Amino acid sequence: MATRGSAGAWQGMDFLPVGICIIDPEFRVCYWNACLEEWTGIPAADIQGEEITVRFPSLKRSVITERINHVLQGGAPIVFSSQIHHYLIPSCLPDGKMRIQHTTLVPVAGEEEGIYNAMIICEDVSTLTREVVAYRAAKNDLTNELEERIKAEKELKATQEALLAYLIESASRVVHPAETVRADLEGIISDLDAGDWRPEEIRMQLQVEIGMIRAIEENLAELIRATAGGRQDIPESFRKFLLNKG
Amino acid sequence: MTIDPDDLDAIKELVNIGVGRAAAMLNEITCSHITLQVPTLHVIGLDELDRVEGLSGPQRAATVKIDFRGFFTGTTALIFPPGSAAALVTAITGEEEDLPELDALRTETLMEVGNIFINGVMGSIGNVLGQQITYTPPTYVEDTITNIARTTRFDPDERVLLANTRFFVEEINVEGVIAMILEIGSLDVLLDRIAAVRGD
Repeated sequence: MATRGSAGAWQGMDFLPVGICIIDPEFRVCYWNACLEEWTGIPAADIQGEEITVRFPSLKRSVITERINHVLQGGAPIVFSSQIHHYLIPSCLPDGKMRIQHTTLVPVAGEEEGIYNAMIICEDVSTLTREVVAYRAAKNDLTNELEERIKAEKELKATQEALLAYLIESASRVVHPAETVRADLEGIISDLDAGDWRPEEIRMQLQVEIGMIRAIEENLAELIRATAGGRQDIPESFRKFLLNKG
Repeated sequence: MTIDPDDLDAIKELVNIGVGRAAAMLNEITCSHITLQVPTLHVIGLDELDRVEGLSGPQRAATVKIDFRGFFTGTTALIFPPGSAAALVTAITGEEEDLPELDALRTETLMEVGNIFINGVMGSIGNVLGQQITYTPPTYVEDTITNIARTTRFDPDERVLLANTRFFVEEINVEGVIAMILEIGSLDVLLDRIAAVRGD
């Protein structure tokens, strides 16, 4: 630490976990703390006295210099957010990615009265940024999944309603012929009981009834295929309907 | 305390100049088309702040504030309903999200937007005052207006210059409030300086 050029009042700032640099009204670096030495690999002795925009040309943009000048005139502190600017003083992380920074500039009274320097304070928010980005991605995934589920539930409900309508329609197709067959067979039994019967007529009548029973069988087989085809969750209302119909 | 309508107009003009500068700066930084308007300005008591339309009730407000002290002492805050603040940030940064949250990164961005905005307004007022004012860095607070007003260091009967503000960014329209809470005497300092500039 002795080789680092911080002395006097600024010495304590070498121990802070934030990058700190002080520039004078001509943008010359007056102070460069140990954290910035480590982040940028530039020793304080190499950069002190140098114009910061020469070392970091991206700071020459008017949108940056105008705001720095505001601080150098003793104006209010300014912040450069990481989301808009990413960083003011570029430096790399050990993995080679750029270090994302939240930067604050505050005016610091210079040695002469009315003259201000600007203290640039850089906070490393790379980890925070990574975590927030991951959180947003997870939130988006969950939101998308939720939307998918809501959509799937709506589709399932529509399918169930269609199935219910289909089952009711199928059941009515079965119930009516079954009632007819029952009535016809009761008629045949009455005729037999009364002794008023001719074998040929009975035979024809029974063949008609067999045809109707076949149609009922086909309807029931179709119903079984529909329910067996992944639509086994028959709504309770339909179950009651089937029970009522015996 | 009643304020002469001409004085109020003069303060509104100063705020508008500052807001215009802030809009130009924001446009340059974000490459968005941002328009700012200050349609109304009035003076209320600090204890009336929680009854301001859009800020009253139990809802939390997203606030960026900067304190200043010296011969002119107070706090300037830019206050938004949180949903509006998140919508403003996403519009400025060009993010595409249906229901944006005001997370840590967006809070930081809002702080920069508020910082530019407040500095514009304070710079404009500072030019009239003609003396050095000392400022703190911007801070972000999210709480009910009642709690924000209660935790300031000011007395409840101190005055607040309240300016409604409209941000138009791309296709969205976000309304916020600039509240400048002034310590007793500071409003008089400002009014005296305005009178001096006008040559009264």
